[in-house]
Amino acid sequence: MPINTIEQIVADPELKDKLRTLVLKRVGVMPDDMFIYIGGTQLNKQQLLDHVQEGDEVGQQVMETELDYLRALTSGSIYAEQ
Amino acid sequence: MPNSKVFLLTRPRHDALMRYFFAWSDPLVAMASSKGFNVCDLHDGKANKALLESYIAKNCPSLILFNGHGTTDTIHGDQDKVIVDADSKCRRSIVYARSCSCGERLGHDLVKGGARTFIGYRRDFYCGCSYEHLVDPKKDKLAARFLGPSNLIISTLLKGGTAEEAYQRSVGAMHKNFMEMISSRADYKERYAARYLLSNMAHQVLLGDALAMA
Repeated sequence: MPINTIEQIVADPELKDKLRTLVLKRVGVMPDDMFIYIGGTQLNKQQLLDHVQEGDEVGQQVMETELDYLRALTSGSIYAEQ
Repeated sequence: MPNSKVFLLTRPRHDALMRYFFAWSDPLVAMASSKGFNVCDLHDGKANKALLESYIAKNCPSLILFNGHGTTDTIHGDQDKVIVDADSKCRRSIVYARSCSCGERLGHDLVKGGARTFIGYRRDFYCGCSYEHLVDPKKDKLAARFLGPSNLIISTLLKGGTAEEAYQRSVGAMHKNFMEMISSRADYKERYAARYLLSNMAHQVLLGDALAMA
C-alpha cells in the first residue's frame, strides 16, 4: 500500500526519522534574516529546527509542508496548474 | 438582506503579524471608499465581539474581511480574544478570513448560519517576512508575495467580481508568485519561502455561493 500522508509517514519510525533528517537539513538552509508566521507564531530558523527536532505539532506541520513542496516539484504537478 | 455597499473589516494590530495585516488592509479600505462602499473599520480595540456583532446587525455588510489569528473553530480579534465562532451570524455576507485554519470547520458553520460565501484556509495561513521591514510592513517584498494574492480576493470583490473570480485570481497570483520565487531571478529568501506560499495556495477554500458578488 503506498504511503501518502504525513500521518502514515510519522507512524513508521524509520520513515519518520528519514523525513526528519531531510527536513532538518532543508530548514537548516533557511536565511537568517527572515521569519515565518505559523499558527500566529513568529518563527526563525532555530525555532523551526527546534520544533522539527521535537516532533511537535508545528514540527510536523513543517515536515508536511516540505513534503508537499518536494512532491509538487518532483511530480511536476505545480507546473501543470493554472 | 445585506446593504449593497457596506464593507466591514476587522484589523487588530497587537502583534507583528497583525501589524502586517493591518498595513496591508489600508489599500483595501481606500479602494472600498473609492468604489462607493461604506467602510466599517473595526481596528485595534474595536476588533471585539460585541462591536462586531452590533455592526453586522445594523449594517448588514455585503463583504467582510477578518484579519486575525484563527483556529478551526474561531477567529480572533484584538488581544487574541475570540470574535467569531460557530454560532456567529454573518447574515448574507461574503466572508474572507485571513486567518489560520478556519476553512476547515468554521467556514462551513458560518455558511450554514447564513453567510453567503466563505473564503479562507483549511490549514495555517503562512506569511514569510523580513526582519528589516518589521517597522514598515508595506515595504516587505517577501510578505508581498503572500499578502498581495490575499488582498486580491477583496479587491476583486470590490470591483464587482464574483467570489469564484476572487478565489481564482488569488490562486492564480499565488501560482505566479510561486513560479517566480522558485526561478533563478528570485532572491534567496523568496526561494526558501516558496514552499510556504504553496501551502497557502493548496489550502485556500471557497465555500457556499461561488457566484456571490459584493
